[in-house]
Amino acid sequence: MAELYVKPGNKERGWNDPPQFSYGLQTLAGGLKRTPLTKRVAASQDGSPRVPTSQTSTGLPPMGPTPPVSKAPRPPPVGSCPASSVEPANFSVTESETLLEDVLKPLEEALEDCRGHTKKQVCDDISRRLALLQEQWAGGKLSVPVKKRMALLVQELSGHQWEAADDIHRSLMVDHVTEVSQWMVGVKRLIAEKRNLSSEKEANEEKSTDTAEENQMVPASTWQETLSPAAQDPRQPARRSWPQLPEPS
Amino acid sequence: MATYLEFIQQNEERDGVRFSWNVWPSSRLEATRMVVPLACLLTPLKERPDLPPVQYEPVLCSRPTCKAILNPLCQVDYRAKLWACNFCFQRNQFPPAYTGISEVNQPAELMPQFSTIEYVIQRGAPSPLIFLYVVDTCLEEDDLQALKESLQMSLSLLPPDALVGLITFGRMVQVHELSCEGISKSYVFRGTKDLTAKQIQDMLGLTKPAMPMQQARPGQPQEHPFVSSRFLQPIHKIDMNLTDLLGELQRDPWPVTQGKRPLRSTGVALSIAVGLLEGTFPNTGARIMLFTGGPPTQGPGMVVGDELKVPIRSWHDIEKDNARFMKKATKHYEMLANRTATNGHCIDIYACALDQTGLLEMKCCANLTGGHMVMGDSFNTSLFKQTFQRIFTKDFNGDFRMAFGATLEVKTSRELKVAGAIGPCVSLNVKGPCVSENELGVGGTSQWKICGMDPTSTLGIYFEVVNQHNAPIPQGGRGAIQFVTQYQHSSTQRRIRVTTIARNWADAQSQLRHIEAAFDQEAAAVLMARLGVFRAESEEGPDVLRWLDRQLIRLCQKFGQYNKEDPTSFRLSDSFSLYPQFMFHLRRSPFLQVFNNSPDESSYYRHHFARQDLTQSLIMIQPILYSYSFHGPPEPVLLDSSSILADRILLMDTFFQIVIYLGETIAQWRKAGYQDMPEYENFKHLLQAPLDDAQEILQARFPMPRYINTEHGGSQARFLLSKVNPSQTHNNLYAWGQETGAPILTDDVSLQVFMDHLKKLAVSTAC
Repeated sequence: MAELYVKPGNKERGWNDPPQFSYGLQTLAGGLKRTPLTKRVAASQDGSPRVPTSQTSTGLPPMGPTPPVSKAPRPPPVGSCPASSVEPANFSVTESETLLEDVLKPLEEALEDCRGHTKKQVCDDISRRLALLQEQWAGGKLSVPVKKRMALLVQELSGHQWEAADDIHRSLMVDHVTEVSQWMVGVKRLIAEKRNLSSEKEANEEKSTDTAEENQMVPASTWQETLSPAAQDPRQPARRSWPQLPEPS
Repeated sequence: MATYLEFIQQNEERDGVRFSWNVWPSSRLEATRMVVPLACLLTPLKERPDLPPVQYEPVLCSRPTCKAILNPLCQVDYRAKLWACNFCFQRNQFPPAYTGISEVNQPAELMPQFSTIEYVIQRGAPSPLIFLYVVDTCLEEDDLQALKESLQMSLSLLPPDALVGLITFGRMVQVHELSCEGISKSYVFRGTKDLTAKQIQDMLGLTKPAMPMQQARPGQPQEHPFVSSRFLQPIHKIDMNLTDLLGELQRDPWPVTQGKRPLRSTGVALSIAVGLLEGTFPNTGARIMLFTGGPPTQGPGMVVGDELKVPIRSWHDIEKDNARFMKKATKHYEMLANRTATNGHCIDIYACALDQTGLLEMKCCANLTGGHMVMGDSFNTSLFKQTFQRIFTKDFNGDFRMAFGATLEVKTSRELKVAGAIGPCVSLNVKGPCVSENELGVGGTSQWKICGMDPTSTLGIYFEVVNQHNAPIPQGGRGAIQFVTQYQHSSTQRRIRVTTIARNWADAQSQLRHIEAAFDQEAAAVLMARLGVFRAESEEGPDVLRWLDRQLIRLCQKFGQYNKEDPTSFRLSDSFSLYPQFMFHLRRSPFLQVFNNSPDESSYYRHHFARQDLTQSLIMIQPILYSYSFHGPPEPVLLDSSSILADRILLMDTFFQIVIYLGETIAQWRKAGYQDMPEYENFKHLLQAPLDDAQEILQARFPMPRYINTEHGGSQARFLLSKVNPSQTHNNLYAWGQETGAPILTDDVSLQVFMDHLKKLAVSTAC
């Protein structure tokens, strides 16, 4: 649940500063492509412009003709999220406020888990930043969206969803860097350390199981896997998994 | 011959190549008479989601002077397991791994749909990406804070095993030692004295070889042969400390007195950055990212003195030879740029200031190495922040869209030679049978180095037909070209992308119609424009315009249909119809007209023009104009003053700006608030439509364009008015009779006048 919004640019410092898109919108951008605006009209051979037919008469302000009514409205353009110029109040007023403890407690627990494996200095550093987070939160310095997303991050972290948690941390750094920069890097490190910790645990568990299984782990279907050179010989006729590109006409 | 458009488009989609001519004139003499050279725009790393790379190494021709790569044009004897190189005709034995191939079981590289194919090279240990931040501290408080935050944010966007370093500068240059424990240390250099690479490396303590891992642990496999230096550490180790270090950065402490500029030692800072990377990680992917908020004012590479009353050079100063520091500064940065390119690194410049920052002198750093150039008003703007974020965007595979240390090699069949390339590259000075003696662009070589690349980086490559007139090519013969790009992918894998294409030869005497029909006017316009801009860097402006005009007249004389001395009879076929228009707009563009732009702005525009792909380059030459109205869906309209109507909304895309312009009536309706009334909901939709389309463009483009929302009579409307063809001016207002469109107050020549003159000159026997 990334936030998708557009804020206006900084008109004071930059002339014609473009609007600012949230992290969610920017990462979406690749997928939503309507017909790109790249067409051109050729000038007629003698260079003179064709006079376009214009139906409305020249309007006189302010009592002039009004915009045409009751025409079949053109359907609003389909596609990307509406460009609202204000941060949307997605968070309904009735929703309970995100509690500091809900966020801080899991983070501190995660830190405790890591204490055995991670260098003391790193843990102290993370702990220091969590304290800073607590201070800022309690002091009311953090905005609602930040608190909300932190709650989500903590949820993902507890659920071992490292990528999702990482993505939320990135979205917070991009959209709210002023509020979060001092302590967010601690949270980021915590996610990384927990990730390493759990992958180490998994590796240890696997080692104790039958080792013969390891050789079968790699599926033979896709030739994108990095197999050992002996096992992988894409030039074998049997391996026909190259994508079928359309024939050029 | 409508299918040529499809043919051109399919080839661009598959191979990332657009040729000016798709049927090639078979002799040198005829080729020169074509006026537009045989050339192509090549996007070596064009994104191909449908082309996963193959995990083996390419098969090379065994002739040492050839070494072309096996491709679909090669003749293959499946029984004898031999293949004939289509470039040098050498017969080669297939390697042992290919024993199983046959007509029905071909390896990918022989299939025609794999004319473009990518190989992953397995050997060698992967080397991490390196990002060295060089940060100007002579900024205003707000600006510095915004920049610090952007840099802290970038640490979250970089991959955890990338190496990162920090150099800050103002009056002095500080190289920060990044360590995980205790007090942060830095090495301070004077900003006035340039040092050689060796001196820098000595002073930073880089000359002692780092202890190799094998000695310390004889039994351990060498997992990380790359020893990080004290100044460049992996993100996963250093992010917290570096975040704090960045957070604590202060403005340059040296006081700036009234009437003076801050002393900024950009030249030395960059020199130290280049020397640091040279001494620690040569020949691996690295970006030096220079963030500067003003011009260099001291030391080598200074562009202006510290007295505010002496302004930084303008075009007028340069023309009058009144730019004191320009030559020396340019030389300093060119030397740095060449060294950086040799080391396989690239330099980005992020310049945010209200006045010029010396991009004219420093442009070679970005242009020769393939680095970015971003120009903004302040680091505290959305333009900078988002453009900077977009550097770290990921593709469909979750990899960064950046590539490093690329070398491009071009091989041609013997009837062709390579004359040169124009784009973000340096020559590797590789002579060979494919290299022409006539140079167009960066010539005298068949290999170039592009240290920083992304999927849109495009080079213009120019060829020469060398076949003699009396040695005709047999009917049905084809010429071939192979482009081989070796590079470091952002996942740190080394890859090779091979594109092999062929086109038919034709005798220009008897088959001119075929050659004409296969002309790609869009590619030709961009390729000629690149040549023009390349010349404009070294020649006088008016000379370039004259050259461009002459080429256009010659082209019209050759390919136009007309009766001599009768301009009204002049006609151009469809495949040439847009070309004069492109040339008209090119002549007015900021790439060839420096009037109204500072030297820095011109350098910025030219930088982007010389590296974008065809579609974006065309947008820069002739901006796109779309009209929104109640009369139907949005439609493209002529870039002409007649398109500016009271009841239309216009969206103009110049690549650098997105302009939304409300016609007079629309503006009045908006002011009256009709969009808020429920019965006028269609008006609300009409107002929203161009905003949505603009948003799509803004979301994707790099660098982020400026956004101008204006209306009839608004001061910002000048961006639109200066771009449209002024078919109606205050001079000819009453000649049109009925008032259509908005008259433009200008003395510029209109497209009609331009075309009239062109036709007169083309049909004249005197030329």
